[in-house]
Amino acid sequence: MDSYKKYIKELKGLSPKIDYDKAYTAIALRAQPKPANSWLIAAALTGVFLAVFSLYYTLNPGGNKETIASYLEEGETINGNILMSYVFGE
Amino acid sequence: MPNINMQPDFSVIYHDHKANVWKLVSKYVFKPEDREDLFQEVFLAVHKALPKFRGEAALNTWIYRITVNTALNYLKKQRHYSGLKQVLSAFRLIEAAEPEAPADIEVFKPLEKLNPRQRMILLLIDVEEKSLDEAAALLKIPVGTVKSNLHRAREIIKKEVSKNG
Repeated sequence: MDSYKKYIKELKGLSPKIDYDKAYTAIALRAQPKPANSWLIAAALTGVFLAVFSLYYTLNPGGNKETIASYLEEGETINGNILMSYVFGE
Repeated sequence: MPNINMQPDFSVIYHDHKANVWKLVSKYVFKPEDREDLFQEVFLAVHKALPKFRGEAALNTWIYRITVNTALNYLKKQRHYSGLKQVLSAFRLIEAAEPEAPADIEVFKPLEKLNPRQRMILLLIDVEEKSLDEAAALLKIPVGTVKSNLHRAREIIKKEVSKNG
């Protein structure tokens, strides 16, 4: 038998072992849908917010010259509504 | 007529085809961890593509095609990755790991001289005993290309085998 045929026969005869059950478990785990990465979502939302915020101020230069203090009544503290009014107008 | 779901069940597919897939991937990549990784990749690809399986090809051919494509891509990716690893270890950014040698490494040395496509063609035709037409269909290349790659691959292996005595 020539050396090539001998080599192919040797290749055919090889049968490395595998634990099929263990491999199936690994495949099942890898096939499960991954939960969305919360850090990526948070970063994307922050990015969108900053982009909108900077776009607003680019398009309205000097549009909001009042300080936030001018929105406050006497004795009132800053809250979400006042902050939104300050940023986006009344 | 009732609507019968003809979609084959993944666990049945795994049970029926695991041995054939393993036979091919275990000769295509040589490190034990790579073999198992590639084996898993093939069945993950099968799992992902299963909803799109329309039964136009025989299930056996369909799985073989996925195996061949996944294996070719795996080796290409691995080549890129090993190049990157060499660069990183040259700059001492990562430790150069000692490759783990399987017991049968000597047998695979001649195959390492072949490019991914030549290796796959030689395995399909000479080891798996597929016909030229079957190999061409699996790889989606012309029969002439299969023939020329097979000829080249055989020449390389013959040279390597005779060199190693």
